[in-house]
Amino acid sequence: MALILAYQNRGLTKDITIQDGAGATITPGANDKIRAIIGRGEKLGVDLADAELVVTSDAATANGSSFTKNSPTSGKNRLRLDASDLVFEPGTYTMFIDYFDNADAQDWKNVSRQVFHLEAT
Amino acid sequence: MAGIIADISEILLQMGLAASVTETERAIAQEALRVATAAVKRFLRYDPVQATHTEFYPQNDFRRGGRIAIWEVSDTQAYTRELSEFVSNEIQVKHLPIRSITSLKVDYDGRAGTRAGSFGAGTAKVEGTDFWPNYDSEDSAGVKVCKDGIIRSLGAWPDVAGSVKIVYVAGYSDAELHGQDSVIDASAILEAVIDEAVRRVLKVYSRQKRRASGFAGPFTSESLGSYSYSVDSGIYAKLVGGGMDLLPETEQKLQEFIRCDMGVM
Repeated sequence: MALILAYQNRGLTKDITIQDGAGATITPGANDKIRAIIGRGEKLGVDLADAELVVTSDAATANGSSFTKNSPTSGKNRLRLDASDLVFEPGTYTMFIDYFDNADAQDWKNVSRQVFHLEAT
Repeated sequence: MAGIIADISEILLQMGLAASVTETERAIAQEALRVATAAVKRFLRYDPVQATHTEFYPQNDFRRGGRIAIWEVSDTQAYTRELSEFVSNEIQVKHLPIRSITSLKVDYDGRAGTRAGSFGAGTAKVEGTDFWPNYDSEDSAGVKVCKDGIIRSLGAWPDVAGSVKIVYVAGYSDAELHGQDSVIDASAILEAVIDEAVRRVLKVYSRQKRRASGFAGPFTSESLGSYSYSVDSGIYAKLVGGGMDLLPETEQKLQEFIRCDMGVM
């Protein structure tokens, strides 16, 4: 668990390491996916429409936010939040980190929840 | 916002646990948030989170006392409409504040929507012509807001229980609950939920400390000979307060948001 502090209208880059239940680092495979969801409410993982921002490894958002697997090194995943996507109301949100394991039922699994605080500039 | 007043992260931040919370602490906070939210909703008597609601009125049977019967047409059928001296031209819905009326239908044989074909398209009434919420202000988008939840009718509402079907949007937006709206400030509701959730988490921690070896819990000193003790007033207040649904100061914060029963239909 960690606190992620971001500023409204300013970009943010974080390298995220995903771990399994035993604390070992997961290295996403070629057909695996990762995503970050920022919003309020525990049902966000199901109802993405309520999220303030969703960034997946499939493709960057229209504003250029991206979540890149195994970058800059294997096991680390670079989450880049573009300034233009950090335009929602300042405040405290939850950031969900989800992992799509292609070899395990091919469904999204939540691997981490972190406090995301967006500060006004 | 997924139908919540406060997010778990807002509770963790208030408790200084944002960067170091364990799974157990998170679960305790989540449960405290659930209980605190329910307590605030009970006190307010409605759900303050903006949502669409469907309700049937009147919810009491007013067919008693002096009355007359007149003929009415509802959609494709004729009915005798019974008027009681107790009927009113005001209905008060359960959730506040009203933000918009999606639809309002009157079917004298509607039976709260249980009869097949009840509340057909022809039973729809027109806002501004047949009925109008008791709007008292506008929100930051310039949309009218009705804080008391009263809907007035041109003439008396029917006295038959379940003959009026109302679909409406009520409650506060996420920005209003977080004090970020330029017109409507409902942040007292959010503060009340956070305060009560944090209080409940602290109560759990206090109990854990009381039981744990080497910790005195609320006791600052204790002696056996001519037994005496003194307690930390802050911790003790939280423990004592645990027996209450809401602390008095929380109730005070929520006073202006309580749904007052206007005694109408």
